[in-house]
Amino acid sequence: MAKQAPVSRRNRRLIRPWVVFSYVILSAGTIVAILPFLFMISTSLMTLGEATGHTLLPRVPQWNNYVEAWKNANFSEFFVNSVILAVITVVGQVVFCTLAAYAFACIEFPAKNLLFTLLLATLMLPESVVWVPNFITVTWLGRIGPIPWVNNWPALTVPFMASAFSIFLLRQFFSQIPQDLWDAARIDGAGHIRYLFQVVLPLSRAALMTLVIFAFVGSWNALAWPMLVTNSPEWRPISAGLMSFLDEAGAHVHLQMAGSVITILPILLVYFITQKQFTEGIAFTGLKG
Amino acid sequence: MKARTLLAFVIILALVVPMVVACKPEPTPTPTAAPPTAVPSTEEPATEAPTEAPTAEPTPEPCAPATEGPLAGVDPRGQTVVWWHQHTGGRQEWLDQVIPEFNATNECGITLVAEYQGGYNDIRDKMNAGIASGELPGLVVGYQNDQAFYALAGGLADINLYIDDPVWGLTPEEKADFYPAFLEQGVHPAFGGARLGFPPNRSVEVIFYNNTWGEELGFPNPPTTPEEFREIACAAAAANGDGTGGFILRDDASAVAAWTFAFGGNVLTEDGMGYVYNGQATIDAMTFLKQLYDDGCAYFYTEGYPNPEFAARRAIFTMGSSSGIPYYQSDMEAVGSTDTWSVIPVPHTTPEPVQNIYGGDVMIPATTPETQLAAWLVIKWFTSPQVQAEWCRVSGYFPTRASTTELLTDYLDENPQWAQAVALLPYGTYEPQLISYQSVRDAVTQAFNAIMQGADIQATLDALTEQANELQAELMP
Repeated sequence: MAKQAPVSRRNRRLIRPWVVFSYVILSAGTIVAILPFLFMISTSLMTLGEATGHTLLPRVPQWNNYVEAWKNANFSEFFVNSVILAVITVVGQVVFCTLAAYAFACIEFPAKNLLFTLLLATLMLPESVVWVPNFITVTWLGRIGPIPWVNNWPALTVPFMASAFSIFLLRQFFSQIPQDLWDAARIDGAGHIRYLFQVVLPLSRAALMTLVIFAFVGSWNALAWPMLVTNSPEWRPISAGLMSFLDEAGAHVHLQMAGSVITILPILLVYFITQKQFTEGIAFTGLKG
Repeated sequence: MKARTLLAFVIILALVVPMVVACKPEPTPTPTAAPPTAVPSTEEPATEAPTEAPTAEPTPEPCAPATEGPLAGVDPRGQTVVWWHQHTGGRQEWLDQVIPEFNATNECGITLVAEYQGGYNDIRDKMNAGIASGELPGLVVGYQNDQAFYALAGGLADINLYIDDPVWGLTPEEKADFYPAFLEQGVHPAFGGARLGFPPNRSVEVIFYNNTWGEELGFPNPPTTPEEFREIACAAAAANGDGTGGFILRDDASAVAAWTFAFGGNVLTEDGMGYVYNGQATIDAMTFLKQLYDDGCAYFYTEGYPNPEFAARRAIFTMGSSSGIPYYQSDMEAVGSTDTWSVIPVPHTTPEPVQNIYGGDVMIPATTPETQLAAWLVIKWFTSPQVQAEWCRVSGYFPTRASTTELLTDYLDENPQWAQAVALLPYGTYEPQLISYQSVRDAVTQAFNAIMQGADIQATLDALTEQANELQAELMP
């Protein structure tokens, strides 16, 4: 009996009203978050009639919708394009944002704070505002460069290799690394490059994984910009495939949802692989979605 | 040193990996507008047909440049015309089949490249970026208010130059073959009467009516007047008894315009330069609909398209674009309905129906004279009755030329609702093609909903008219 007393006290603590209230709120939040996914999966298995009606569940699951969506939207080609574009964008962001963030976090140079403020200010610009200037830039670069940029991978990736958000995220993380480590590295004869690669980056895996997942998701979901800078399907991403289920009279909702399920699978995969580091990265940098 | 080597390795990796990974076949250079530095074709007539007397008749040589007239010396031969469009699915597949035929057989050696560029909004973004950068296609689709935007930026050619040309234009008989409203819609009074768009197809705002249910309720014929419409809608609503059954209200600006037309008015001023939403016809139409709503004979359905409600006998009338006909058919089949249904004109107070017709146009961006002429020849081909007939079968759109229907007799027999809607085309009129109309449409929807919620009709429409004209003045000073 004496051994059971602490357990009993713990149980009493666990069922406090605020704990119950928290669970209710969290459960409600979970339901709200997960319902669209369930709706998407359910609709992806319906007929068009069911999808446009009031049906919650398909009478007979239409697994063929996935095959039809894959074929009709030419997903095989778009899928490869998306993978290539995402890899290039992620690699580019890791390289350029790491270097920029390190400079802002660990190197003193004139007007550093002003430049960082200007960089942060670009986060306030709506994406559509920069479309036309960016389009003119990539068109011009294509004209003077060895390969065309428009309707090709450079226009789809290069503009996203330096992300203000990613630089900010990494800079926040790098700033928290104790100064003592830099002092010790200096005593050992290290310069900035060695310190970055041998000390900072190994300690920043969580932040880098966060960057990777944000960059990957951003590239994977991009639609407006890719449609702007491509004229043919050769380099269009998978999100462009989803548009083929829309026409002026309406949407083929069931196929659109099947296509959406296919589209989000790689994102889920990347998230599950990097989940631990991603969560740590968000926690360490104090960022919230 | 190690760190530097490592850095070098990373940088090389960052540069090489994308290139290696991206070693896909080089994308086929997309032919866009021919550069302004293209060989001046104006010299060609002198070398190719120097001995011919100046005449407005086509030269014997196929597709040779005209020797006089506004397009004298402009040579469309060998041009590539890129067409930015929004067609997907079966429409795109058909284009993929028919365009190679055109490319192989057209006597001018024009190469048409049709490229899907997303929806109208995506195409608008691309055009705006294209006008700024000079990367424009030979042909592009878009609505009439888009035309005004592009024209304001100097991005469009005036199609009047081509349509009236003695060599390359349309004959009077061909012009007369087009439904008048279709052809007039692309003419912009705000741009001095320039013809900025040409209709490749059209849809029409119609009422969908359940005939079988109407007959069961004691109405052997579809309504033609607002009063008959009210009687049937109220009878159906009473039969259901749960607030459904009557007419599903549509708060879209096209519906408001359609009701105004049916009540004998217009939402465009007589000079075509401004809006008039507070005319008597609009007031009468809104009063009619408000009364219908207050009496429980009309209701709002906000969960998507109204076709499932129609199929399930929760509405005896719905309103919408004729392009929805296949979806109505599909929904009727989905619920196993055996009801006969039809497409009827908007109930009208005018002697004849007045139908709101709409649809995107094709436009000729300002590129080079040669590309522009080649683009016009593509339009001529695409709007020829034979091609139109095939296009209508594939797309469900309506033809723009009356003679096309002679080639569609079997299709008309097989698709009675489509045939009913085609019969309405001669009664067509159109909505404003003003630059501000996209913004005004939102204001119209808000005004419509405010009226249905009890706002004063006259005051709301006065305010709407003022707001619409202010928006127009803001964009087109």
